[in-house]
Amino acid sequence: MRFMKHAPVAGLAAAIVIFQLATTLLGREFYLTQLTMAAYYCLVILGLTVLMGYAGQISMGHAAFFAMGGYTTAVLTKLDLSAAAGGLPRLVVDLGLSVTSVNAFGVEVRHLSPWVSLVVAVLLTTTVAFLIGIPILRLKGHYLAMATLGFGIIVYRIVLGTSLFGEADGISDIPAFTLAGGLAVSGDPELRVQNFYIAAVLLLAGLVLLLNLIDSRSGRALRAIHGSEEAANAMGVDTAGFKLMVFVLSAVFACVAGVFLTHFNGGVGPSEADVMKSVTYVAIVAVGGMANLWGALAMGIVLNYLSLRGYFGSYDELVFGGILIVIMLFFPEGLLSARNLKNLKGAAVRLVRGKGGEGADGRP
Amino acid sequence: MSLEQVLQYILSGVTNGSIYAIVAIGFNIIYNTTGIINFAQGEFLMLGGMTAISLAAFVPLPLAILAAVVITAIIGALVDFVFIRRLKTPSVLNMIIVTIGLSIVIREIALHVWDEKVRSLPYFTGSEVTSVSILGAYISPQVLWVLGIAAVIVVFLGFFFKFTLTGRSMRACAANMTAAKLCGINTGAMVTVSFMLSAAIGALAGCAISPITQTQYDCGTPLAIKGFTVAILGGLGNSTGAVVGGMVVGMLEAFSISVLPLAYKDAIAITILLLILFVKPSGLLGKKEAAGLKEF
Amino acid sequence: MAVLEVRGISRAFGGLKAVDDVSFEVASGEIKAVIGPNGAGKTTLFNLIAGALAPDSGEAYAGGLPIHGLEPYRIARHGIARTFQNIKLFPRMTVLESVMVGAHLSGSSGVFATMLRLPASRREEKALRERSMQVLEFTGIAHLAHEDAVSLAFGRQRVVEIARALAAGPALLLLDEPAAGLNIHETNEISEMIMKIRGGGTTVLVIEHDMSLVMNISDSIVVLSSGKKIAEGGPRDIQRNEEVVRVYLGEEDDA
Repeated sequence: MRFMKHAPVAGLAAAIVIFQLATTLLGREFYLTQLTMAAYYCLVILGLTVLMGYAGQISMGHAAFFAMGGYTTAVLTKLDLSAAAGGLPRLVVDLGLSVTSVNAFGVEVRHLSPWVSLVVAVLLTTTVAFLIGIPILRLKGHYLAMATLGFGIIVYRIVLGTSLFGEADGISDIPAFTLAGGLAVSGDPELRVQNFYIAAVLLLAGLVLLLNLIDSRSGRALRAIHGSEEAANAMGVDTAGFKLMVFVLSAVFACVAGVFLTHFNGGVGPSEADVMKSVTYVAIVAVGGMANLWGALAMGIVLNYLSLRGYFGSYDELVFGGILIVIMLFFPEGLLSARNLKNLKGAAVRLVRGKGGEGADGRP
Repeated sequence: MSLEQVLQYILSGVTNGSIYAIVAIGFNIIYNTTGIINFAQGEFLMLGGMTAISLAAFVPLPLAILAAVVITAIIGALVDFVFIRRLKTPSVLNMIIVTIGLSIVIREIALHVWDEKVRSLPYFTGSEVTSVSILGAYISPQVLWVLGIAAVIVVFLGFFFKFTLTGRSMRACAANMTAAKLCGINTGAMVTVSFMLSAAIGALAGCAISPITQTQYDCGTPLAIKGFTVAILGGLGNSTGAVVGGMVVGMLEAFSISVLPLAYKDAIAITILLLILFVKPSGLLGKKEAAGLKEF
Repeated sequence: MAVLEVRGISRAFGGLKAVDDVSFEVASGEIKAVIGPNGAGKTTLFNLIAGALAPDSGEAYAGGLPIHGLEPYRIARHGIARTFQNIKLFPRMTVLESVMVGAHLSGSSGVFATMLRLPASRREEKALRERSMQVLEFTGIAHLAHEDAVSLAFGRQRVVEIARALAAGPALLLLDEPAAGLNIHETNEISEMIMKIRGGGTTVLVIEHDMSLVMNISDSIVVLSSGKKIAEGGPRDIQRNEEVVRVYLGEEDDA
């Protein structure tokens, strides 16, 4: 049973390695760039899947949390501490919280360590998600949708209208995020392969954490809330508390993705906070089958990758909209829904059993 | 602030507010018969405007607008026939995703049919330089057209829902779909009518605002978001609420630009909406049950 | 001390007094029944005790501690678990998982401990699973552990509801019409199960329509009519009570 549980994750890890080796062998490593970006977006989508699919709470404003991560790290790591003479900047340098890197003009600059900005971003996101989550999660249905959408729009407008955040231009020339042992999150083509792995490891870690969560006391409580909030509450589940917890958790996932992708891209712009982005995340969770981390992951990678590679040119959004409609009309539970997979599995089992009597039942 | 300025702000608030109210009413009509928030509502305005602009090159303006309204209504009916009807046991989220998908598809088709150029209908009367003076405030005659058309739409809908058989049947569907079905009302047809009606008034509003705000393939989404904000603020499904909500939002926006940078204008209405929802989770005039019903 | 004590509890909906100044006690280890004609306020009374509704006035105590006006999940922490008249099982969960939600309170690991699968949370998960399996065996549905709960036959779903509530290890189990919609055979099974549950040391408060079931298993009975308590006593006393016969058994004859 333990094996059954970990086999898909191991399979995914193997697929990641094989894909990387294949691109390198075929001299097509540039594919990895968009795949790296898609992996970070998938991190947002996974968090949102737990919130929407398992806890049953829609959020049409998750791009805002992503943007909070991205902009926090962008603003903080762009502050020049080279000439820090006194006060807080000096203290930051003295505490060893700063690093140096070479900027676009070949000048060495001392700035805040991205590790610090990551922590600040996560703390900020946690606080904001917590504070708005308390009143917002009391709302239901379309009202919850509107409130989260509204939150997203407010953040978008703030980003777009504030000079600190670069207004419509966003912030660029953001330094690399040096992790450890020569690993750095950056858009440098030399570091393409390692960045692909950094994103993949982060995504896998996120996936494993969430899979653990779903199949646990807390995860069952969440699924119970989605199934019948009244019954869950009667069983002693603090439904409001759990909803809030998962809202914050999914916000943090989005924030972390925002921090990493911003360093990878070397910039961040208001489009990351756009309503359309939030809607895209929600849509991918839905077409992935709502309460289905694997489905969301698969759809997230495929759709983001195709879109980022620009496969459909100017028809990109048209295709995306079309996919949404088609999947909702013909596979309302998502393409990779439990039922569709069961049918597939059933067909496979029949195929095996057709050969030699009773097949092995994987049930624990 | 001078009196003229205040008047100017009020007029601009009322104008925008009435547009928002029309969009919100469009949301409500469909919501009441189906429980769906049609996120493609803004696209109806865009389609109306764009179609009329194209037709106006060949036929007189009133005819172009009429044809645009009819064509958009037919598109509304098609949306129901081709998509909405095919949703089997839809959850609210499924419906939201489908209408978001529709909104994207309509917008992108519009981009390829027309292009990304900003267009506009000619002023219904006069031109951009003509203005009417009301108590010292100068406004474009088109603003009066917008207000007039909004008022006509509201009065017409009030009449339609109160006195016509179709309108009353639609209200019956809104109150209780199953009961309406049992009373022999063709609920499927009512859903189609609601989409046509919604599309038609959207198109008319889209034509009316085109000379002022101009029309572009992607002008629908911001309007839909405003309309959704207003619909929720007033209480979903409540058309009086939509008018009240529209005016509140319109006024707030108009006056906010005298205090805050223009860039934050769009955030004002929403901030107020959130604050109101936190205190009254069902909107200004919404019923408590409506907010609880139709969950995800 | 009484497992549950209800003092003058009332709740009105609009002008209608659904529950009107009702008081009674449930002694430890007994099976107590609440009966009454349709609309007598039985389910409202249950919802008041379990916290699904807040009382307009009156008090309720579990083991001497006040529980009135608390949220359901807090009342559950006072050792009160319930079933629902119109079954509320969790879709997309197996029987075992549903029952494990019932055992929620016997665990304590939070979101982060479970995400990291810390050793303590793993041990706890194992304990929860074992405990839930025991409950499934106790209720005789262990063989259904991995079935989808909502796709079971109606009678089985009822048992799952009871198992889910039992998994909380409650001092008091509230059963809301456990035999509604069941055939005679299934009703007998439920009545045996209630006796067995009491035998296991759990006090039971049951709302029931089926008179023979109530008379067979109850130690004492509270009779409600139009929201008011009109009688309380042992099954024999109740059967002889004229007012009860008039409002309740009389109605049965008409039916």
